[in-house]
Amino acid sequence: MTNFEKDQYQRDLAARINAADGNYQYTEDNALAEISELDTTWQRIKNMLKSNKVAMVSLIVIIAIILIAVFAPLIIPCDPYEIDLPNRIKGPTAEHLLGTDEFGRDILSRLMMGSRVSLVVGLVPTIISMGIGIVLGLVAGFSGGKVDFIIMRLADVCLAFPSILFAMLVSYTIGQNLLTIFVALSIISWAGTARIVRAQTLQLKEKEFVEAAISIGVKKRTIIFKHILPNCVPHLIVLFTMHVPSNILSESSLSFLGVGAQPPSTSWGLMVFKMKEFLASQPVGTLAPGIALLIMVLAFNFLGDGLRDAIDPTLKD
Amino acid sequence: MSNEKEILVSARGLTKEFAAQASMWNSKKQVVHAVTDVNLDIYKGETLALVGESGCGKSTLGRLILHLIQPTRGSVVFNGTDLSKLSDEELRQQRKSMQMIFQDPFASLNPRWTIRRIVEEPLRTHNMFNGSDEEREKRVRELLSRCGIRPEFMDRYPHQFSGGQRQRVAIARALALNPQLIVCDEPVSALDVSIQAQVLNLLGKLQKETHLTHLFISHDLSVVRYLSDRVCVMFLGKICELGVTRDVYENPLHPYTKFLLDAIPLPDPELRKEDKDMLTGEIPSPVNPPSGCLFHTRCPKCTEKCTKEIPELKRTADGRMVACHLVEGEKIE
Amino acid sequence: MENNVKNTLEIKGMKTHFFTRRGVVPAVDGVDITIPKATIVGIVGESGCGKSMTAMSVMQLLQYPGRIVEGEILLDGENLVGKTKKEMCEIRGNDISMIFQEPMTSLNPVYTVGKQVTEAIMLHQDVSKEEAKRMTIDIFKKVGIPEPEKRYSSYPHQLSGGLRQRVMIGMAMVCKPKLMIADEPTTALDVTIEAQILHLMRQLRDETGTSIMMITHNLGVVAELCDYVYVMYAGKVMEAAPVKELFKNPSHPYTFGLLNSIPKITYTKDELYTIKGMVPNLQQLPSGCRFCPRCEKTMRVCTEKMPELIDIGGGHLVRCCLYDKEVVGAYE
Repeated sequence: MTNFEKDQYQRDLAARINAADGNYQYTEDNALAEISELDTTWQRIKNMLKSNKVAMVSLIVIIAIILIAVFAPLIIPCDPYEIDLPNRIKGPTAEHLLGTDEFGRDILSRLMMGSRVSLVVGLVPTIISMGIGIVLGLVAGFSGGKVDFIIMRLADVCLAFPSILFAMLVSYTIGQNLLTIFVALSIISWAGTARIVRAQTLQLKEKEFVEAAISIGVKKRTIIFKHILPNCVPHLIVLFTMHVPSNILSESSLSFLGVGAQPPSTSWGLMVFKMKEFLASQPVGTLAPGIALLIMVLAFNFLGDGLRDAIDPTLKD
Repeated sequence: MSNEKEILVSARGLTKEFAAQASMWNSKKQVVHAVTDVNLDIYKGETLALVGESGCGKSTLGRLILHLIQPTRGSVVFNGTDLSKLSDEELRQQRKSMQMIFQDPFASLNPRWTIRRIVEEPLRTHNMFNGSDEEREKRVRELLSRCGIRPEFMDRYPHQFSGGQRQRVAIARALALNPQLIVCDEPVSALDVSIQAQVLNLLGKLQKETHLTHLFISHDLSVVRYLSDRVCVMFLGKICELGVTRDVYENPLHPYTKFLLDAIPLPDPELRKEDKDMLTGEIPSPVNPPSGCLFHTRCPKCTEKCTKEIPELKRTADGRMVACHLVEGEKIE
Repeated sequence: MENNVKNTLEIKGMKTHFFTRRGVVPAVDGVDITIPKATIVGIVGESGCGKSMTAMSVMQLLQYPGRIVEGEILLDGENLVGKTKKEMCEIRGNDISMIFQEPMTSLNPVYTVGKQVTEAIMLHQDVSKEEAKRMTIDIFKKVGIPEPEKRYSSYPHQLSGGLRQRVMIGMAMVCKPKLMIADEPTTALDVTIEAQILHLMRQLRDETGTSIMMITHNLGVVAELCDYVYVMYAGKVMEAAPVKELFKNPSHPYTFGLLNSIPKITYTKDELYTIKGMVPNLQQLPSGCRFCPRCEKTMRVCTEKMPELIDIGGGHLVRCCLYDKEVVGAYE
């Protein structure tokens, strides 16, 4: 009996047994069971938030901070600019829940108003600088050669420049306001993004799916923005969550040096620095903005980590 | 006989040299001879297989024919057009009629795209169906089901499919524009044994249905035997033997082809030979290829002439082309 | 020292499970494998069948979250399950050694290959440095490395794939182990080099009497090299037989399909035989026989219980209901 005859014999045998077994037919369609449910990025993010409690809490915190910042003028308990010298540097009371600062202003109200500056300073320069960095990084990485050389040397120059000094220079040149801070922080931090995006692009360029796109005849621009950029997103999210806190902290240093938020308006960083002299008599005054900063920074980081994992469709478990 | 067939691709004097640095401390530039002076015709409707060991230049040659990499010297004429004379935009348009299937289906599909978008990409790129969404979707469904993927799954991502299914998606993408030539670069070597047969059968079936021309690159000589009409054996960037598959397998003329065929472990222990003729030594480096015949360092029949003179491709009595001093044949102009 | 156990390795009912967040993955699910002295035993299967995990379990090199949950691994009659890390370090390299698919990743790129082998010798044997160096050059000669003195001071990247694999085999053989586990040792190599390496492994077995556990997906390699074969599928041994018997008379539908779905160099056919469906996901195993969704001979009983290994004579074992006399007896 050859193997194929044996195979046929076994088929017949199984068919006979199945016929005797009330025409039994095996029906499980394994191909269907194998392919899991529809799985979009949004669903992955939802699932991640469900299973990752830290990311969920972080998201709630960020939303809360944004809401406070938007509605600050409506919900503040006192006027944040009202000077009340007799009651300066007082600990928490029923009237001033977090006490008062060196001019007797309500710290809770100033914290709420300050969140606006801190949030904007965290987000806007990050978005601008990352936008510049992504485009230049993609172009440099994909084109290579002279274009790459010029862009990367420009980035080196920006990285080599002392950032705080540069910000001060900008603010003395074009005036001291928030715009200055945006410009200064953006110009400094695009180079880091560009470098990372370029490195990613160089790696992705060698991938077969990019070669496949070229072999189909897809235009260069489409390859860069539709194939390479989406695959950089996990790194970009991490970068974003690192840039936002670092910009908030830079703004604090700049405020301290007198080129950031200008009194009487305020930011969390400025509040920490202003109140640090009174740490012994009114610790809440320093700790409250400090802790607020800490919470915001951590929330961005944790949410970023969670998003990175959720967005990568190839990551399992 | 072969003269009557229509030529689709004709490569002349195709050469690719890569520059490589010798080592971290040595900045002296070295030249890697990936493909050297290859003349090759691919006939319409045939499956031509390129076989050889790693580093023999078969993948490079496949990409040169598609002009995915620029040749250092030589030309590729595709359907009467010289690809090296085209502008970027003209070459992009030309790509409609030549497609590629890659080795690793995990890498050749963008992980962030649904398979619908992946198969649609060639249609969108070349603006087929004048941008009609319905017709495009119809075409995608048809392509997927032809390749054995249920169209219901077209909104899933590649990672939700197994290797074999992903390769089917890649095949559907390659077929989308009704190309004339498909270059398959080791399309089954990354797949499981039981899945390989499924994909090979699919490729065979599509070949029969569409009369496509295939350039099939593989290191697996058993797969090549199953699929190809003609086979081209390469060694170190050069063709050593080119002929009708059955002739080459049954009566290899070039000593290298013979060793290559003998070396395959046969899935039959009864045929086990305790002392089979084995090639000794390693593949020479493409940076410093040996003088004369590239194979002479490993060839047991090596003569003095082999070490000095480079053998030309000769046409033998049965219409095969062999590059070996020991084989009789007439010179090709 | 010599004991009269005739099997180098006996694996009895071994289960290796991975405890992942999504549940337990039974990578190896009750496997019995016997490797007699001076024998080359092949373990074949597709990806995810548990062949590599069987090897890792024997070496006790399982990565978290995997562990052996049941069974015994007897090396010359001595149970390896439950050995401490320190004891296993003594055994690894000395009594069992392993070679991998990609020799580049198992060699340290910053040391010369000679130094790495010499250190391996000095770790397990009480010899002087000069003695170890001499042994290294000897073993290099034995595994067919040309100019062994010169190659002694080469770095891994300066050697070709074939030579690196020879170095790995040399390193594995230098302490004269009782068992060598080879995990796809020729998959990354070209056919002409593969033939050389297979020849070398058989030659070493004949000379030293080392048993070899050959893990591969390539049925050609099995036919070429092995004496006895285990076919694994989804963590279980489906069929086991002496090599000639297995290829002449493949009895499990899976083995039959596997053997017939590979294109043969000796003849061509219009269409290849195919096994439908795909390799199963170990987290969604079908009930009953694990092969039944892909089998064309599935009966009701197949979906109800996993059949036992049935002896069909001549050392040939098959795990299939079609050989169960209780199931088919009345219909034959």
